[in-house]
Amino acid sequence: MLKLEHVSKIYRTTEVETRALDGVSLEVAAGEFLAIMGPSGCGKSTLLNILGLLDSPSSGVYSFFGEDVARASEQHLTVLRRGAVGFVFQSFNLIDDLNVAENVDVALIYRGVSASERKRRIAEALERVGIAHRSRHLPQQLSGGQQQRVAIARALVANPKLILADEPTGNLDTANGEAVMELLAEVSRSGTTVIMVTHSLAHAARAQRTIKLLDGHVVSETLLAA
Amino acid sequence: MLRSYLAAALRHLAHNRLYACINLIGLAIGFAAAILITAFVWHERSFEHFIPGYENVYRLSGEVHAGRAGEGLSHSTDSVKGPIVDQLRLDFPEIRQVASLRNDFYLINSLRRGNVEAIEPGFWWADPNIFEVLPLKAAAGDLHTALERPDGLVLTRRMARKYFGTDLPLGQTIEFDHERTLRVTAVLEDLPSNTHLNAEIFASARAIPPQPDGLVFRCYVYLRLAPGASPASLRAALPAFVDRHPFGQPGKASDTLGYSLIPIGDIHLHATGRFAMKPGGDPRLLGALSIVGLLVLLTAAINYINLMTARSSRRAVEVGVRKAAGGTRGDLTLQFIGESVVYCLIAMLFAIALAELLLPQLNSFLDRSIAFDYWHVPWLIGLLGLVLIVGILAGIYPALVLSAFRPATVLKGIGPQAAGSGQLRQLLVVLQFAILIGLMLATGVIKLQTAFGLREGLRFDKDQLLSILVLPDGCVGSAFTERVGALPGVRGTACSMEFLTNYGTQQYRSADGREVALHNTYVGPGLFELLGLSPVAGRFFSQDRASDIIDPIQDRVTTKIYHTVINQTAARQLGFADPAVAIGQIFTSVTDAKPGTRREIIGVVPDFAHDSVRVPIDPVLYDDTSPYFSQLNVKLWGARIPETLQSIDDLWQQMAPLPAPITRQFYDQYTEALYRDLERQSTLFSTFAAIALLLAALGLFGLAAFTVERRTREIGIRKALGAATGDILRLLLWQFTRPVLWANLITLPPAAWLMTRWLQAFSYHIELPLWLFVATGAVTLIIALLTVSAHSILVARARPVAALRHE
Repeated sequence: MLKLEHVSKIYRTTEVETRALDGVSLEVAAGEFLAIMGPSGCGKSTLLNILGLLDSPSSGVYSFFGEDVARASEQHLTVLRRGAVGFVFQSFNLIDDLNVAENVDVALIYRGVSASERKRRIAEALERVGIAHRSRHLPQQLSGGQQQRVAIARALVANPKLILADEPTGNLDTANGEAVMELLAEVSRSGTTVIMVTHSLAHAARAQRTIKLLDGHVVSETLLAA
Repeated sequence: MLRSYLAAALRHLAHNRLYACINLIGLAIGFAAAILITAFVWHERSFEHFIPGYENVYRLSGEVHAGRAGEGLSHSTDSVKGPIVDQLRLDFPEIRQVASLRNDFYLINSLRRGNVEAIEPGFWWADPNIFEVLPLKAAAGDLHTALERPDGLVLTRRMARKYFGTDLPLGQTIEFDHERTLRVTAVLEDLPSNTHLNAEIFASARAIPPQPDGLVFRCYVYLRLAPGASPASLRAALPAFVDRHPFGQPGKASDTLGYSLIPIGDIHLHATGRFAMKPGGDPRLLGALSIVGLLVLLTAAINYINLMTARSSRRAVEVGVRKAAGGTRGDLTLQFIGESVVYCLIAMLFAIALAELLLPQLNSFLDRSIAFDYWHVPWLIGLLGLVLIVGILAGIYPALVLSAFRPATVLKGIGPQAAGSGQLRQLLVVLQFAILIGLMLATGVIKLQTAFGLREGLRFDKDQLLSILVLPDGCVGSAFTERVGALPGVRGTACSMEFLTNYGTQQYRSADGREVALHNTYVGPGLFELLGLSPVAGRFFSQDRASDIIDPIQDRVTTKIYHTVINQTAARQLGFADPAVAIGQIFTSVTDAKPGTRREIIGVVPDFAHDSVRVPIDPVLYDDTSPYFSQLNVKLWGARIPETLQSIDDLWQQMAPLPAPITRQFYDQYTEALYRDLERQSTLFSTFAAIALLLAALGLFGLAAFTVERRTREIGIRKALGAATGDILRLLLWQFTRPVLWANLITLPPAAWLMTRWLQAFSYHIELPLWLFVATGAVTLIIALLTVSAHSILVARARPVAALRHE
């Protein structure tokens, strides 16, 4: 479904050149739950951004559901992202000025969905993550765990083919982290491809496969015992 | 989608009250200024539009020239001389209707009903068909026939209430000049303020006593052209008309008289003749105000742009999330432009309320009755259009800045502290302060020039100097004059014509054969001394010398030599570089009623002004002819003015030198009237300078608050490394002082050039003082420092640990 071939990402300033990814090749099957691990600065977030079409590689080939998108324009990436990708972030990234329902709605408003259909899907998504009773609350009125549930609902509401989670439990306590992982596992079981960056071995163990990055290279790959 | 955008916009506004207030207040003030200026300009440009068919109505103006073509003196006059109306009707079939309004010198024009008596400046003798030419709106009666009867009177509701205590006193009578009775035959709706007409009372011209020489003075002629008639061809035919009917200029070859035709809609802004019914408007002021209004709006928009871009980091996450969810840059740009339009819409609502609140004061200040009709479609479109235009233009830059955030960067929490160019923000602050400095300088120069005009413009001592209107030939030797002169509070009296406003223009031949044009007016012995003037050469008129007295025009003979006093400019015109040489010289009149009469110069008076410092002092000749004196000039002692004025009023009541209430005015009031337009300009510019100051300070305050907050951690680090409070303060204050210094540098030279050119429109003017520039620069600097110092001092004095913990 997703195929990276010798993908590199180089950040250049006038004085410094940083190679965040160096010739990474990777395949992710449809419905797979993949965890990405590695120390800070190894290129995990860069890899995630490229996989999620938020960034483009400097070289190499990226085949996104059969389409080569490595040299695609920002406009085209936006269109692809709109239809296929949901994001969950470590710092939740909810919009403070919008309530819970409105935050989830943001994932639908650019997809041409009718108002009534959006309302239905929002209610469904909030119900799925167990936060429907707080639909009119603002983010500041929620706990960290609750905010992350809203973020997951936002990622799910458009039925994306791919969910990218960048350290989704990084700002949560153990109990909330477990709850979020259970949600992501359930999403994966329902057929959605989930790629998660994490520092936690325990959380990585919930995935079917874990790859480790170091200095922009994939250095190891572990399959979950069946 | 729109709902999501609107919710985000309104909640963001509610959660950031300080900055929202700064933006809304600034935009509201800018919009309110724009509304009021537009209403005023619209009002000024809509004079006479309330008259049906005004586009086809014209007024005649007189062009008087004394002297050869290209030389001599010229002026235009709103009124014309002569029984011209009938001749126009006969000679020009394309004139469908022609009628006049007259206000002769020979009549007092006082009205009395019961205890109410006054000389009404708005009283006019009108041809019976005046309302065919100027179809004003009737409240009662038939305007087509109201002035057919000789005692017919038409007046406005306001005048009706004044004299009769009721709006519609049809059939009731009023006393005119204590002699005759006039009957109310119709009532008009009150005229709006956007008309050049000061007429509120129209009496039938059929009642005017005819003048001995058939001449009519102070006559305003209006004509309505037939549909399709060409004003251009009528204008082309007027010179020939003058030749056929040389009214008022009994056949003097070197004197020319012309007529010009002006559409009544143009009178207010473009007529420049003497004897205007009301002071005209100034199209240059309208232009200047429009520009100033735009600048004020620009200042408010700059605040919005600066604050939105400076605080853009607050919206970075939202931008990243929306982009990650599939929003394009275009979607986000539209969102933020839309937000800007919402801000402007809210600000416009406040602005409308503010404008309504200020409108009565504005009307009172400008002497107008401007009203808003918000449901008038052009107004509505204009207001909404302004919201859209300002909203879009002010919102574009912040929208482009915000929508450019890369989601990959901002969602990781490492987004920009403040996006957009900091240099651009500094540039915009420079622009704001440049506008402020320009307005302050303009205000200062206008105020100084006005003070100069008021203080020195007339060039004679006008302090405690009073003028009282009396009957012509009712001044010299009259009992009233004697009794007033004997009052203990009176220093002296002298008789004259209304010499500052009432003068003619004639051609004279000097001893060396040259012809020169001079103004002429009439003053009695002691007048120049009352003005505090001493002769530059020779002497002034003396009561003890009968030879100083000049006969009235009809009695003059060429065998006598009449004594005259001239001013310095007249002396130069007559060829005397040294005034002393002029004494005893003789010259003859060429174009007055008795050509060939001879004048001997007995004295030269220092130049003094009849008008404002806008116009050069003209050459003037003064004659002592008492039958023309209609003004008693009284110099009062400073200590007892109220008591003396009361005594004068009491004497008037007892002696009634005129069958009318006393009309008196201090010369100070005359000069104030001359400079009223300048003082208004000064007040308007002061107001806008104050508004620009408030807006610039508001914007700077918001920027400073945000910048200081953003640099709190940096400040904590600096303090931890040993910086003192003063070091931090200097750092912060210098950041905001720099743009103000730049603004001074780039604005003062062009502002100086502009104001120099403005001053050059005056014949007499101040020189631009250096201290004004220094003061302007200093004031703006102090204001900037005071505005930013509050936040700066607070954070500079904070403990480093508090600052370092700041997130």
